[in-house]
Amino acid sequence: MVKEINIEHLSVSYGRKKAIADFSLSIKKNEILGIIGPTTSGKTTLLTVLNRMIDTIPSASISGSVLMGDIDILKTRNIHNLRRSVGMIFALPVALPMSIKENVEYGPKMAGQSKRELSKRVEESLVQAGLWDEVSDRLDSPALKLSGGQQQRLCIARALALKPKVLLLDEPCSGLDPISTARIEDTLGELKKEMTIILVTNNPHQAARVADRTAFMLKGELVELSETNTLFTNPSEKRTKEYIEGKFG
Amino acid sequence: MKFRKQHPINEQKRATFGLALITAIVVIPVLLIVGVVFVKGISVIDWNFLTTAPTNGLREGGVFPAIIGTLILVVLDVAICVPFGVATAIYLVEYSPRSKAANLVRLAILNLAGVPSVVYGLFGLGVFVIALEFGASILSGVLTLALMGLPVIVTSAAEALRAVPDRFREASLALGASKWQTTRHVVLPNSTQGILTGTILEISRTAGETAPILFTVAAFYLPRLPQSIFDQVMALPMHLFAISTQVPNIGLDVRYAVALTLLFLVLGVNAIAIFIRAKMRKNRIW
Repeated sequence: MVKEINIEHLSVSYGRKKAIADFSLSIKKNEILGIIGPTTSGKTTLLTVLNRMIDTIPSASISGSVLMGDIDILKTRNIHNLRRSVGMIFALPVALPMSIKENVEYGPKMAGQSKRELSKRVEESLVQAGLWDEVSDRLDSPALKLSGGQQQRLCIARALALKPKVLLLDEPCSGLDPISTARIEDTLGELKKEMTIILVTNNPHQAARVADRTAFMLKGELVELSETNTLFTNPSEKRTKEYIEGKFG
Repeated sequence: MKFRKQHPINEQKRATFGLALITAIVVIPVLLIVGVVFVKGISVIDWNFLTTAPTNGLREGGVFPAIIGTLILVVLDVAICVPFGVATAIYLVEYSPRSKAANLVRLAILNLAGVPSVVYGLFGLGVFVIALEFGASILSGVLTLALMGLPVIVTSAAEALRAVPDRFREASLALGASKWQTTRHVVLPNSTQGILTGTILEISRTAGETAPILFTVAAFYLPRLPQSIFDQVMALPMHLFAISTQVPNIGLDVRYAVALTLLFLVLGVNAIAIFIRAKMRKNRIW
């Protein structure tokens, strides 16, 4: 197995409040890793550590190590490059207040890519995110006019335009209807051929549908990690079983 | 349980009427002021009034030098205030750490906006005119006005920057953009409207201020136009003050005409800013 990211003894706290405690986990290249768990289980915190968006929260303190290749994510100075190779999709779609095209171009443009490269990536990424057919005739219209589901796929396209190695998704379908959700799940299935995907979801069924392996987190700890099938049909931990059966959460 | 006699629809009607009445009480005096100034002053205003210098101890002739003087002061003031004010606001909102010292600075700026203008006038006299030896000049006057306007611009620009939702900043940062790129390409373009609103207020105030320019730049009578920033100029509010209090035997209609000219000037300059703002609003939808 080729490892993409190796997390060892990661602990995160906000002020005195512990969000993640002594967390270790390896993420394989080109897998979809589902992470499930109730709110405040530390799922989102884990994602924000992986691309250092946690830096925007001044009270956060982190220890442990997170290796991606030979880079220690927690220590790297070049967080801009890190965020370009580890893309993040938020729970609520955040289309920037500019045109569809400008949204997709934004990341590579800020990274200093040439104009020709930009226009190439706009089409590529929109195709990859499964949005091209719907917007190819109105690339210059405001992105905020798109529907919620379209905006979320635009956000995926925007992250893809940076050709990331890893894509982090934080409950990407929480505000979307079943059809939009299905489209995004299909897209993820295609994308994993080219990158590693970590999908945090409040909805265990979504993990069951798309994830190769699934991790169950509770109160900042990793309770169980196994092949998705195993986790849902034959969990080894009682707490996992109770959670996926809907007894708490 | 006792039912109230008032039907909710009647209550609604009464509330609407009450609020409309209060609005009318607020608006009518403003309209009256503009209306009275217009009716009493318009007869004096003609091409000659607007394009010639005053003569005969301000009793005759026009207000041309005062119009030009006020325009120079407004344009230079905005040219200093807006870049410096916006840069300060960006630092305060986007960059400065949330410490006690930063809060103190914010509080100080907010309070500076409340300092009476005559205090700024005296400060300008002491520092720019006398200590720095700029003399009574456009330079001294504009610096005094700018000093007075900066808190207004900083406060309104900071408000405009804060109105940009954090999720836009986060989305930009998550795409690997630096803080400056985020500010430059996401935050600023979406706060120009608020910044322009502050600028409009500043223009109106600068054009109408008398106290800060009284000691620093305004000339009582100076028919020729300024040649450099070390010259004095006439200004409309100062001119109005002068002919109303210092020169006997000037017709009331002339004073109203000067006031009306000042009103038109402010409205004209504001119209430009309002036009730009409206054009930007059309392109935005959040």
